Amino acid sequence: MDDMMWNLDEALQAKEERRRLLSALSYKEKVKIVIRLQEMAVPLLLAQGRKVSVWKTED
Amino acid sequence: MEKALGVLNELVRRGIIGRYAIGGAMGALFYTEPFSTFDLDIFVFIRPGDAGLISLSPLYSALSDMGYEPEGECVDIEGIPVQFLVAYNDLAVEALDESVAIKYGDTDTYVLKAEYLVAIALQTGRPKDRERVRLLRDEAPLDQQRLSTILDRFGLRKRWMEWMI
Repeated sequence: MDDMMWNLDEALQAKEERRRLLSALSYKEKVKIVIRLQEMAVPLLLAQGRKVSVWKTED
Repeated sequence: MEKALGVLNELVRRGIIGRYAIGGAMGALFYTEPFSTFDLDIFVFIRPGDAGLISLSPLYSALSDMGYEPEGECVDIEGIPVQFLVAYNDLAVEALDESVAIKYGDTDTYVLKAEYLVAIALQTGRPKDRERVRLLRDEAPLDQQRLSTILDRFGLRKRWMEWMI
């Protein structure tokens, strides 16, 4: 049980660290990730009837 | 995105719009980890006409001349749906006045300060605004003194306290 608690704590710390690193990315890098997220989300949202599309931008 | 921002800068150069700044989700994204969003909200100053009314017609007409047509509430500019939000009250006007100059690639642009993004989200008050406030509170480098002053001046302290629970 102690091991499990320790692992959970470590996972949460890693998650926080990842969040911190992502927040520190350049705006342009973040926009690239947004577009990737759009690509993943659009099929689901279209299936729900929402009118959305992936940004057709070069950067 | 850089091309779209270049178009906005061109509109400023031509005097079609005054100062502009990125707000909404894309404004918050400047300060936080990336998340999914589909619109680019642009806060903008537009000089009132002779009757004191603000019209978006000159802006839409100029964009149309540049080949960018409205699609619903947005205008598709270089593949990005851009929603123009005229600075609609004292808070939005001040937020735009205080916006920060940044670079996106080689292009100059402006983004609202995080404290004003929080205040506007509090004032707007939708569920997604509450999530945005949480994200900014947790991840943005908020200037607590500035935020506190804004909350008090615009009567947003009560909602801030409610949303922090």
